[in-house]
Amino acid sequence: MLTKGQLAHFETFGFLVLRQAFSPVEMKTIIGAADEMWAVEVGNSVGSGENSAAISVRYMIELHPTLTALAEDDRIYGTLEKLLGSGFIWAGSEGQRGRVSTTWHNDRPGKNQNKYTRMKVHLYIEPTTKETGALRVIPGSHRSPYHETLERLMNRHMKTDDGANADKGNHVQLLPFGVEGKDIPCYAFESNPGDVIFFHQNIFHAVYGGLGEGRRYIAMKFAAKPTIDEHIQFIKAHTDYVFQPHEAFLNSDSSRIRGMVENLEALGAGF
Amino acid sequence: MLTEQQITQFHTFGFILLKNILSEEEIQRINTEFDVKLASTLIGKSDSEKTERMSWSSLGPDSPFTSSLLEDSRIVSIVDSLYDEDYYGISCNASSMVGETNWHPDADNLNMHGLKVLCYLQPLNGNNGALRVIPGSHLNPLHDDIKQIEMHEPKHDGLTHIAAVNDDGLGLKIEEVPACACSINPGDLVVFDFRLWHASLGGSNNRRMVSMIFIKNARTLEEKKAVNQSVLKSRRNRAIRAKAAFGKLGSEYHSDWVANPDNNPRRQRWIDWMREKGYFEVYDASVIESKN
Repeated sequence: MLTKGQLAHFETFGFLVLRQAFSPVEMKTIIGAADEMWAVEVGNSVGSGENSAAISVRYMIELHPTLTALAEDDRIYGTLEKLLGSGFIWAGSEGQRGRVSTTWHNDRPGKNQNKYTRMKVHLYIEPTTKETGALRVIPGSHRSPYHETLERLMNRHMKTDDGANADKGNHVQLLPFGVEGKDIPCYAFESNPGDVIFFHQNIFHAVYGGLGEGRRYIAMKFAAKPTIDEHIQFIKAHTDYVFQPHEAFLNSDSSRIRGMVENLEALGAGF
Repeated sequence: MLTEQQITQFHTFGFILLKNILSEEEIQRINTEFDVKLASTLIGKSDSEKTERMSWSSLGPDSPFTSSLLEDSRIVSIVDSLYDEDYYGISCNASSMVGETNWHPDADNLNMHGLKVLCYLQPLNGNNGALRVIPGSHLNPLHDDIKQIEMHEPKHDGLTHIAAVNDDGLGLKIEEVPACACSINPGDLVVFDFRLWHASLGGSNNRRMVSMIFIKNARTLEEKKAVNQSVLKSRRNRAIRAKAAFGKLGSEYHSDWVANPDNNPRRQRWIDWMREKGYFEVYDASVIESKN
């Protein structure tokens, strides 16, 4: 399903975009389902200050049949099979709604963590631009040694999600390249509903700009099939919950979905 | 002088934007000299629409202010910060750009250490011809991996395509390659590493810039080989541009500049090195190529 060029793109830059993978009609159904989930507000509020209206729903995909279908859709599943290899595993989902700015970071920090491929798939519900909440990435930053030279960006992110409580006495450390986060050189994934981005979770990414209260996106997480103990340790370091997949997926009628979760409990039990 | 963080930024991402270095008045002086020089080119003398890039050396008495930029303390201090005063300033060219420039690095050999300082004479953004760069692409593995990216029309360096070509015409267009555009205003400077992948898209057919080139002194055998390769390639390219602009070849370096009337030791060091590398010879690419 993916071309040689698309595979090279992901390997080189750490992400891949499928423009208009889902039609407007399909997106209307997906958005309706997502809105139902947010309306139930089964998640927790995140952030503070201007982020107080933000909601993050856990099990966004697992708990709604329309959204569950995304996880096994050829456009998602088939793409992941090419990028991660067969036997890839499910690593959870979320649905974000509200104003959430995020300073530069990678999702899976730690020594050698970027050697094990974990991916996130985002579908944005509204159009986004660089200045209005588009995901920004530093192309190629998932790979060493570039990855390690950017780790200093994590200093600000570790203070707080939006840097609101940045330690002013340590300004140099928090601006390691001498510029504010919004001015760090990057590529902005400007998108319209229906576009999908697949990105390596070790790529450095951020969100800046004037974010409206309506900013919404659905996220799915996946990982390559763990084949050595180190992979299991990496998963445990950041996402221990992966080894307790939701029963909706464990009991799914879909062989694709069951295949992504059926061995996880056993894998995690050994560690 | 650059700060430590700016130096880190340059070495990490391969480029840096410096705002408000030249004044409005200085930009106007450059434009005035530019107008006179452009009028003397083949296109400048022609009534037809400009479809080709015009480029010329500004190191001479007819561009006194532009010529001075190569040794301007503000420019030199930037390069000093990055190369510890161990480098050669080798050219200060003005160009009237046309159309797009496909993706390429100026140096493909990663042992080639050099940089360009660009001063654009009009405001530019991602939609009207600003320089686009892939941050961090001056180093491997990113630098070499980009060659496998299928592009719609990758740049040809006269010998080969620099990146992969998609035979079905489905390769990435310039704007589809993930990059950032260096939005600037006149007076700002863009400083970038030779090895950084860059391109441009859009803009008028008289997009004006001054480009200063600095080459770091080669220390290792690999670096020396890289510099010699680069010198040969750039001589060929400059000869082609001189013929395009003026219809004839000639030395890029005016004798007045080479005479170094003020006995500036730094300039003399640069001149001695360039003489050794053959920069002052008139290079005729057509003669060399016909012999081969």
